[in-house]
Amino acid sequence: MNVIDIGWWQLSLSLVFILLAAVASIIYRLGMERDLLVGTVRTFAQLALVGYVLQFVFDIEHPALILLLYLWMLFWAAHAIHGRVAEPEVSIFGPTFVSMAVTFTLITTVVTSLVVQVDPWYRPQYFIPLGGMIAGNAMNAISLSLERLLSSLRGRRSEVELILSLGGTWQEAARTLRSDAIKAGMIPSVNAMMTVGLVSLPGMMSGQILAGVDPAQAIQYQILVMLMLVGATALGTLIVVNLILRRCFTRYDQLRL
Amino acid sequence: MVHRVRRGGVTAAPIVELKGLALKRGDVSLLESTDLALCAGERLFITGPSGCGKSTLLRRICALESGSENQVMVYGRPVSQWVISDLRRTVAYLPQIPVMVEGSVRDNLRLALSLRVYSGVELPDDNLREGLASLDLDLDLGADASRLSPGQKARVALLQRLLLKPDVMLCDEPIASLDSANADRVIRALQRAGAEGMAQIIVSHQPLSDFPGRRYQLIAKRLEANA
Repeated sequence: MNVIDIGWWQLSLSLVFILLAAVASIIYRLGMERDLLVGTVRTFAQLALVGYVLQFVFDIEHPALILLLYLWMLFWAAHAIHGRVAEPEVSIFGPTFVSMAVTFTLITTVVTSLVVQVDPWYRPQYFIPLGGMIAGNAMNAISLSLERLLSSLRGRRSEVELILSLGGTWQEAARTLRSDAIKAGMIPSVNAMMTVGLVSLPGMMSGQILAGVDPAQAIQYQILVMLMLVGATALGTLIVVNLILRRCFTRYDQLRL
Repeated sequence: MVHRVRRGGVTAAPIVELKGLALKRGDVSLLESTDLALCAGERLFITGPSGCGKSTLLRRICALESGSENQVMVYGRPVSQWVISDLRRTVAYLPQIPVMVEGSVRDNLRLALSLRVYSGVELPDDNLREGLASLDLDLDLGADASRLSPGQKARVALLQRLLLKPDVMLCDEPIASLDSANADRVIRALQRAGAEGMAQIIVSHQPLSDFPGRRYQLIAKRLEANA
């Protein structure tokens, strides 16, 4: 089966969708026109750029280049979380970077070397797209869990301090908040397993099918992706919540926020 | 200066001592270097205008508020050398607004027992009922704590701490939001606990003049003893 080439001219017709959203934004005064414009330009620019970068990396297949691309993705993920979760009292960049790095590296390596058994395990055609999905989902999960954690520490401050004042340690005072936050990060990827195939046909599977891959093969890949994303969100939120939580308390078990 | 109080001919060492304690809120000084001592069974009242730092003072003593942890000594040891759980078991803090956790009155009264620092401590229902009765609380132990009236919550919160028998109790405006009947009950409960040796620091904007104890006023960044 041949894939129909879209071409840039036909692709520009898809701007009609953006136009639709912009009209809605104007009529209902959503004030999103600017974001829509910037978002559209960035989508075109970033994806066009990454297309060339991937082509280049795939052709050369040099470990140093793959490492560079990996660090680049990692940095932007941590940067995006830092931007979404604005927190003046506690620095979150370090912990988010660490949790992103561990999750990205560990899960991606396990998937390429043990499950898919790519040789070598860092072969960019596998490592980069799989890692990209892992990083993207871990990023969302981490920012969700951080937002939940920090807002509940503030909102339920008196309960936390009640436990502290009775003689509880910071771990005891934050126990329920910690599990709530980890859960908040994991729920989307767990819920996705419930509806996949019934409601949503995931992008990767659809893409493979459009590209002419045997649906059975595409489905196996998709199952792998669903499961690895659950692992990634669990690991990422677990690490980040534990690292950040410690920083929200002083060494004398005082709430810092 | 360290106060030494004679009790029955024996010189009692203070439980809580403030040594050059200073309080700040941001860059604003609330209290300048202050010395104070509190012995077993003693009661201190601190009055002062709202926002002057009375609550911050209590929170510093039990180390809920950060600051120099060497300015507060408990049993002769600076707070920085304590295991904080043990310190807060010794020095209890009752905030102005009582906090109830989700669950029954029993769950709230026993809340602390789930903490490691109280492992081995038990509070059977009989003790809890006795405590409720001593505060004139006619409550079922299974009652939903979130549905109590403010006056009931205040007394449940007080009982929650009294049952744990701390050596010191820091009370932030314990009767501010109570009617006079409830205020009397709280005062009598504190008096009974004091008679059994519990030291107390009570912050209040009411004078509480018929309640015995040493009186201080936090004014112009200083803690002044009242005659």
